[in-house]
Amino acid sequence: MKIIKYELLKIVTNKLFIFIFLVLWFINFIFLNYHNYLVPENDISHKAYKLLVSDLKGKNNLDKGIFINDLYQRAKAINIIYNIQNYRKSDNPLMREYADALRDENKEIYNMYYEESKNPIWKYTGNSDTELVFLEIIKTEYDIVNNYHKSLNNILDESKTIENVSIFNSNDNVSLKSISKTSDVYRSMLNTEVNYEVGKTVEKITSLNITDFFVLIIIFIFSMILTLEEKEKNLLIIIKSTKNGQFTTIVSKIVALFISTCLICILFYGMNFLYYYITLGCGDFFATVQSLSMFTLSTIKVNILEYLLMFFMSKCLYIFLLSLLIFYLSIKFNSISEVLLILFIIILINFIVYKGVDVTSNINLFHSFNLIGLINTNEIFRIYDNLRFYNMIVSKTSILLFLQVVLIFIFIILSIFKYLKNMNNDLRVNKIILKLKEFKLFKNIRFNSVFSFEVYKLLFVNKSLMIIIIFILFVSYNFKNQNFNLSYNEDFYKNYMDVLSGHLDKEKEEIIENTLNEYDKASKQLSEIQEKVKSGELSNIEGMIVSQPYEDVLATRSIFEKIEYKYNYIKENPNASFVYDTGYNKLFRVYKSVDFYDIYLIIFTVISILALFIMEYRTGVIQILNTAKNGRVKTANKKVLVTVIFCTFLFIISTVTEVIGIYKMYGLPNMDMSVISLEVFSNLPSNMSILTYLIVFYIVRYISYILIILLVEYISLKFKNMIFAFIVSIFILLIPFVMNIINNFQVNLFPFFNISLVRYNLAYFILVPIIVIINVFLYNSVVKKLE
Amino acid sequence: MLEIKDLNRSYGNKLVLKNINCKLTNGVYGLLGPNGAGKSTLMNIITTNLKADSGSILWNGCEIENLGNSFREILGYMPQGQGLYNGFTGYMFLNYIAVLKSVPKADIKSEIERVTKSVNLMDSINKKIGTYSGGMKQRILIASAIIGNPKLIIFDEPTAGLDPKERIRVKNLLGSLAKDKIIIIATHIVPDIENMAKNILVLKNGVLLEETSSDKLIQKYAPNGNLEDVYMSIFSNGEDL
Repeated sequence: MKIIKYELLKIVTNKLFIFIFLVLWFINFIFLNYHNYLVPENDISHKAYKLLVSDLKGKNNLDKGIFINDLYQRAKAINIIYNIQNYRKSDNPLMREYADALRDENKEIYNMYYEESKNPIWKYTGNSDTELVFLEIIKTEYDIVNNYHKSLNNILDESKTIENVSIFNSNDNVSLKSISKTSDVYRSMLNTEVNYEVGKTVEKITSLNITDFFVLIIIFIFSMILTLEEKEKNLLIIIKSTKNGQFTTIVSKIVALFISTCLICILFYGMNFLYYYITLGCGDFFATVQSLSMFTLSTIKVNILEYLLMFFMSKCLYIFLLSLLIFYLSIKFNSISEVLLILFIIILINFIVYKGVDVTSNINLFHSFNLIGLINTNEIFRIYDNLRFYNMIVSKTSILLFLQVVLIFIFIILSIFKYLKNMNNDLRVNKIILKLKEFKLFKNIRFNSVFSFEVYKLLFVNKSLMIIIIFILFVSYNFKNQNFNLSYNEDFYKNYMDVLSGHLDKEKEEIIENTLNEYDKASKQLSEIQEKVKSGELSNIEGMIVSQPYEDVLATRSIFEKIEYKYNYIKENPNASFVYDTGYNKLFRVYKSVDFYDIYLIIFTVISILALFIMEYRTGVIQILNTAKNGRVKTANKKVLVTVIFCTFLFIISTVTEVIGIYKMYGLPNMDMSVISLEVFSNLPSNMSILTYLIVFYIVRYISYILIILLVEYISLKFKNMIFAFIVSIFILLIPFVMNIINNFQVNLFPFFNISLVRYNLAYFILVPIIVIINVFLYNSVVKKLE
Repeated sequence: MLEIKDLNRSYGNKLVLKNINCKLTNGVYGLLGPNGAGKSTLMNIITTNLKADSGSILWNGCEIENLGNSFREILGYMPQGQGLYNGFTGYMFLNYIAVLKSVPKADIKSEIERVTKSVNLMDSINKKIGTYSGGMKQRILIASAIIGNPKLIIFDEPTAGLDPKERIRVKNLLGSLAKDKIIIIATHIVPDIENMAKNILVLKNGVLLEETSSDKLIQKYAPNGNLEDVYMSIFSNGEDL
C-alpha cells in the first residue's frame, strides 16, 4: 500500500506533470464553453435545453408529447405567418400572390396565431427561426422515443420476413443466426417503458472527443513517468535491491496506474458531467436509457444514470487498456523515441484495420475492436449488433467489453513479466539484445569530424534513420490510399476553368454570359411551370417531368456562382486571369491553416531530433564535451546543422508528396499567371507570378520549419529530460494543430504556417525577418545552452 | 604551471570555495576532502565547466578564461560517473574524443592504439560500450582523458569500480604519465594517492587546509599512521567511527 502511495506521489509531486494536467483541464473547460457561448450549435444555447428540460419535468410521456407538439405547432405557425407577411411586402406580384395562397392553405393556424405573432415570446431561444429549429430537433427526438415500441415491432416483423426468405433458411446460416439472435434480444425489450427525455445532456457528456484526446495525453505522460524516468535515472538497480523491490513494485505501479486512470477520468469526464448537468439541465435520470432518442435501439436494460456509470466505467476500461499498452512499451523499450515510434505504428495499424475491415465482412469484429473503434464508447451500447468472427456470432457490447478486459489482463501479465525479466537480467544479459548490441554497422569506418559523429549519433544511436524510413513508408501508404477522384461539382468547376483558363477575352466573356443566360432562362421556365402547376394547368407529376431538364441545368448554378464571382473579380482586376485555383488553395492552406501533412511532419520531426542534445546530458558525456576543444560551440553547431539537414529531408518528402498529390488530383495550371488571379491574394503585387509566390511560400514555410527545429532543440536543452521535452514540444507545436483540425478551433499558437498572414503585402516584410530573428535568437540560445 | 589565485565560488549564500591559492607544477596531485568540501566545484572551475565568482586560474601565466579553446586543447578530464554512449564501440568513442580534442587526423589511429594499450582494453575495443562492465567503462573513460597527450589531466575517482589488479595498473599508468604533465586526482580511496602523489591538496569546508607531501601530512596529523589516518584525523571531527 505504501509503495502504491509513493508511486502516486511521484506523479503528484512532479510539477510539470501537474502543470500540464491543469492546463489541459483548463483547455477542456474552454472547449465545454466553446459551443455554449462562442459558437452555439445551430445558434441554440444550452439555456434553451435547460429551460425545456425544466418544463418537461414531472410530465408523463403523453403530456410531454402534447407539450412539445403545441410548442412546435405554435412556432411553425408563427413562422408561416411571418413568411406570409414577408411575401406580401415583396415587389414581385407573384410573391404577393403566393403569400395569399399560403395564407389560404394555412387559414386555421393563421387565424389562431395571428394576434400572438404580433408580439410573440420565444421562451427558449429568443427568436423565431432558432426556436423553430430547436423545437424541430426536440420533436424529432420525441417522435423517435414515442415510436419506440412500434420500431421494435417493425424490427421483429422484418426479421421474421427475412427468416422466411429461402436463402437464409438454413440451419447453418450465420446471417440467419444473427437475425434470430437480434430478434430475440429486441423481443425481450418489448416490456421496456419509455418516457421521453431531452437527449442533449447525455449526448454531450458522452461524446466530447477532445476530452478523450486530453485524457490520452495525460495518461501517456503518466505511464512514461512511471517507467521511463526510472530507467533514465538508473533507479532500476536500486529497486531491485530493496526489500519490496521487483514484484511488489511492478504490481504497485500497475495499481497506481489504475487508480490514476480512474482519477483522471473522474476529473475530466466528471467535469464534463457537471458542466453539462449545470448548463443543459437534467430530466429524470431514472428513466430507461431508451427514453433518449439516441439509445432507442440499445438493448441494455438500465436507466440513464446507470448508463452514465456504464459509460464512465467503459471509458476507464479503454483508457486503462491504452495506458497499460504505453506502460508495457515503456518497460520494453529504453528510449522515448522507440516507445513513440512503436506506439505510432500500433495506432497506424489499428487505424488501417478500422478503415479497412468492412462492417459487413465476416471479420467485422475487428472493425469495432481496435484502438480507434473503441474510443467511441457510445457505439458499444447505442445499437444492438452482432459481430461476426467467421461462423461465430457474438453480441457487440459483450464481446467488446470482454475482449478489453482480456487484453488488460494480458498487458498486466506481460508488463509484470517484462519488468521482472529486465530486473533480473541486470538490464542487458538477454542474448538477443546482446547480439543486437554487438551489431556494428560501421565496424571499420573511422570518422574524422565532429559532423560525421553527430550524423552517426542522430541516425544510428538515436535511430532517426529508422524514423525516416517509417516516415517514407507512412507517407507512401497515405499517398497510395489517397482518393484522387474529383467530386461531380469539382469536376464541373475544373472543366469550366480549363475552358476559361488564361486572360479574359471576348470569347470567354461570351461563354460566361451565355451560360448565365441559360441559367436565367431555365429559372424563368421553372417559375412558369410552377405557376402552371399552381393554376392546375399541369398536374404535379406533369410539372415534375417538364421541369426536370431545367432543374438539371440549374443543378450546376451554385457551382457556376464561383466562376461568376471570378469573372466579376477579373473585370475589376484586369491583371488577374482565370486560373483553376482549387489545387493552389489547398496548397496555400487557404481553407484551413493546418493540414494533416503539417501534423505528420511535426510529430516525426520532434521524435527524430529531440534526443540529440539530451543524450549528452543523459549519458553524462556533456562533462567531457565541455572540456574538449571542439566540444562546445563546434559540437552545438554541428548538431544544429545535422538536424537541419535531416529535417530538410523530412520537409522535402512531406512537401513533395503533398504537391504531387494535389497536382495529380487538381493540377496546378497557369503558374506563370499573376498571383492576384487567386482572389485570396488580391492584395499582393500583381507582377508576382503564382510560381514566384509558390517559391516564396515554401521558403517562408521552410524557415518557419527551421524555427520549429530550433524550438524543439531549445526545449530539449531547457528540460534535459526526454519525457518533458517531448511533452512540452508537442504541447506547444501539435495541440493547436490538432485542435484546429478536430474542432476547427481558430486559435493557432504557431502562426507561421498560417497563410492568412502572408496574404498581405506588408507581411512579407515583417513575417520573414521576424522568423529569421527568432531563428537567430534560438540558434544562439541553443549553442549557448550547450556551453 | 597551473596557478590558482584567490579563488572564490558560492552557491546562493553558501561559500563553497574560500580564497583558494596554490601553484601546481608537473606531477601527480591528490585532492582530498569529504563530500561537500568543494572538490567537484574546484575541478569544474579548472575544467571551465563552472565560473568562479572571483579570483583566477592561470595556465603558464595566462588566464584560462582568456585562453579559451587553446586551454581545452591541453586539458584532459575524466568525470565521475560513467558517462558514455552505449551505442558506440570503445574505438568509436575514443575516435570521437580524439576528434573533439583536435588530435591531427593522421595521429588518431596511433593515439587510440596507445591509450587502449595503456588501459588494457585491446580485446574489447571493438565491442559496443553497452556491453562493457563497470570496470571497462572506467578504463575507457581514463583512456578518453589521456588521449591527445594533454598537459593537464584531471581525474575524478579514477579507480572507483576497478578490481585490485586494474587499480594497480591504473596507478602505475598515472604515475608514468606525470613526468611532463600535471595530474590532479580527486578520490576518497586514500591509499591510491598515498605513494603516487607529489603533493596532497586537502580541502575542508571550501578552504584549502593543506598543500604538502603525504609524508609531511602524516608527520603533522598522524605521526605513527598513514594517509588514511590523516584523513580521519582531519575530517572525523572527533566522531567515534
